[in-house]
Amino acid sequence: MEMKFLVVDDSLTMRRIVVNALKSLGYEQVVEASDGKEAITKLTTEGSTFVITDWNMPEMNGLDLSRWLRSNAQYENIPILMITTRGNKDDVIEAMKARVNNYIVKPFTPQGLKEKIEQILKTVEVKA
Amino acid sequence: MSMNIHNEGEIMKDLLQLLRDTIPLLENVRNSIQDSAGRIPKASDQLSKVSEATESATVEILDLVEEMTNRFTKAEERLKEVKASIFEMRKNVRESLSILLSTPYGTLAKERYEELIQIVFSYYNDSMAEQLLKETETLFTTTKNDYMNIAIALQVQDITAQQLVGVAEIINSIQQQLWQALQRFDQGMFVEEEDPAFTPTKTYDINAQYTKAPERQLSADEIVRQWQEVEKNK
Repeated sequence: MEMKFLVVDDSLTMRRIVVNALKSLGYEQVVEASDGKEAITKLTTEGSTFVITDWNMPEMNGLDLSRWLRSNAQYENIPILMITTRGNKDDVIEAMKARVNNYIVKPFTPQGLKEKIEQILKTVEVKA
Repeated sequence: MSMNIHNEGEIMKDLLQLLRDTIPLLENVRNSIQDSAGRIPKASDQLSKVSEATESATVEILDLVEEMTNRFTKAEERLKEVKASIFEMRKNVRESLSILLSTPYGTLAKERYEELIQIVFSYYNDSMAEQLLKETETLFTTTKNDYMNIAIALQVQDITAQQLVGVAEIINSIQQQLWQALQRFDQGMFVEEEDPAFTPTKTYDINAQYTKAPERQLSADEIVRQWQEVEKNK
């Protein structure tokens, strides 16, 4: 099945940068959303196999989005990668508690993004 | 005794004079506070406008970078086609020569086969053309990487925008303190310009940093690793 990414960030700049980086890595299928609420709508209408989300967002933040996905049978195993400016130890722990699969501190590099996606996919494959 | 009364009178006079001098000073302080407090919403507004302006400029740059990357991708594809067609041509020439040399007319030329190949290929197989193709390929790859690096560096816009919202919030909390000071000056009387509640234009992280130092990521990676280890052993 071809990978389809859902990129969730309230910053248009960040969404564009993440989408560009994904495309440079060969992932052409990308859907965008500006917050958690829109992400849920996009998931329902357009579908996705991998979520990349920011933390700080209006309406529904990345943590709440992750909690919502994990509590929903349809999306409980969907890979979630958080990309955020929050780099404190407590922040990372809180994100892991919300059951994101991995964590990137902004600013990210395409290489770092590639590594995290591959790590997550490997873990998901092992579990499957 | 009269000396004492005289002294007390002088002190009272001085005190009154001091009060007379102090009141305009306090009035000035009050007006300054009011003036500063009044300017703060404008400062917050300007910070918000700076964020908006840098975001649209960043998006314009990203548009251009994307456009240029797409052009290079197309040129790269064209270059691959040219290379493939050269390979195909070489193959055809070799095959044609082989056929020609296998005919009775070609026997004489057989001993000069390699020489003939060299002569034919020299028209399109010289080392300069080969070198040029290689250099062009490298140029395309490095330029596309550079464009990607420009795009990646533009994350600074999101990070500074968050810092600006954080600064705006600090400014607004100062404003609220100033309004409170004004209310104390006015002895609890209603102050016409009431302190407006601050609504950030976007969610933010005041500790957002634009740094290429790997420490923050390494520390996050270590926490994730430990967390996953614990989860695995559950």
